Amino acid sequence: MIQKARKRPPKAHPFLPHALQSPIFLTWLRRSHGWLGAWGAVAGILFGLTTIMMVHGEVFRTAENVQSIIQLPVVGAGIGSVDEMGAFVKSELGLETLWRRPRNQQGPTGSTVGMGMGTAIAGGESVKRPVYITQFTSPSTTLDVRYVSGNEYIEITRTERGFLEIINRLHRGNGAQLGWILLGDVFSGVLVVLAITGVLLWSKMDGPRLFAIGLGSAGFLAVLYFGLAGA
Amino acid sequence: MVFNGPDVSRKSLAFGRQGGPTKAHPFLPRTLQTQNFLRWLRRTHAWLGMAGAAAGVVIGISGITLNHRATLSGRLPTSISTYQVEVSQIGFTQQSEFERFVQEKLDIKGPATEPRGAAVRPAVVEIGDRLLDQPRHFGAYYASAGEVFSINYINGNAYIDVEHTERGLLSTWNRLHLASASGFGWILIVDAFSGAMVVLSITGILLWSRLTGPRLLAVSLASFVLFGSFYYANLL
Repeated sequence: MIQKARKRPPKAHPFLPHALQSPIFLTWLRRSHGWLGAWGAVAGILFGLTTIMMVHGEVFRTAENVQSIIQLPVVGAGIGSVDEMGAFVKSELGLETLWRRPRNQQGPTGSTVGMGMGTAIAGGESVKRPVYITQFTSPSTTLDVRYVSGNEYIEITRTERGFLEIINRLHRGNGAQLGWILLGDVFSGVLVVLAITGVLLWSKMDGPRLFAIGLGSAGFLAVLYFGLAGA
Repeated sequence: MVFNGPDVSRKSLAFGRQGGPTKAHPFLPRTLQTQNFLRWLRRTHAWLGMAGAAAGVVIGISGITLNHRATLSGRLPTSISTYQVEVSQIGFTQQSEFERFVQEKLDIKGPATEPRGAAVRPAVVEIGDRLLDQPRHFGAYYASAGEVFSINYINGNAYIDVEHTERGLLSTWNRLHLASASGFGWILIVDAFSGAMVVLSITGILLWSRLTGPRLLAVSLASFVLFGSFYYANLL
């Protein structure tokens, strides 16, 4: 019988370095992969499905947003800044989240626009009152808050979104609070760890090693090609 | 030495009352717990995982930078250079002629795409009390995940204006993550990857084995994200 000259026995896990191929390390790998996978499974489904929906936005049209506008009486509460308005609306409506800067505005938590000189109009001179703008937002609901200084009412535009749009916004982190941003970060990290531990855990039981290398590097080359390909 | 046989038999009797032995894979329905189905699950999970591993790393890392757009990805390095290319002939008559010229001069392959949110260019404008015919504008926009050529030319001008944007690695990965300007092939890959991620999540749960740890902890970990998404989705 002719034996192949091998320095080492064939490995059950062809992508795991020999030095690491101890039962303890394998158990550890298996457990990391298993626990992180269980933690991220729901997120995997959520992010996977929403990706397809967003990439093919024209096929998966999300329902129209429903908007309503309400007027909140100020009743003598002196509002002289964006933050005062935010605090007032938060307590009046019993909101849990903090007001923040809308996307198209400047300033830390919102903006004050319209200060300055008025212009001449047909009926006399126009005035420029400070206008305070801020927003309360979550994936499902957004409240756009606008108040013209001195007015009786704060105008609040409430936007309600449909289920599909809500989960798309969850994916993108639109209107996300700190907790969800953390979850998103952890999921992203977990994805990287799962990819690496998964490759290390790959075993001959799954099929021929050469095929695995081919498939793995096809994925890698695709990323490389589309990442680096000149225009 | 204490003989503890009876204890063992009582234990197995207790399990017997619950119907069948304990399952090695607690989330896999009993009817599916055959050697064949398990092998099939394992292989699906392993092959899909292998194919998507590289994309997983890129999408995971860019997921973090995109999650902190305001503080991170907005500041990732991109270099924008502007230069001009002399036009020897007097203007162009067709868009295709212009594109061919530009592609040859700048050594660009691939089709031009439409930039988003391009400004309107009126054919005639009124300046003071006279009407001014506007010269013809030619524009070509070539974009990949890593770089962008935005090329403009006004018929009659001596030079073609070129704006070349080159993105750094992380910034390029963000574009890949968003599947913006990364081409039809990449969109297919993103679709396949997303589908694979869903399948990996499901087969992963089915494959979960007691070797990894207690089943209850696994259930609670998995529901963590589920409740997290419900909670944060409707927080207002």
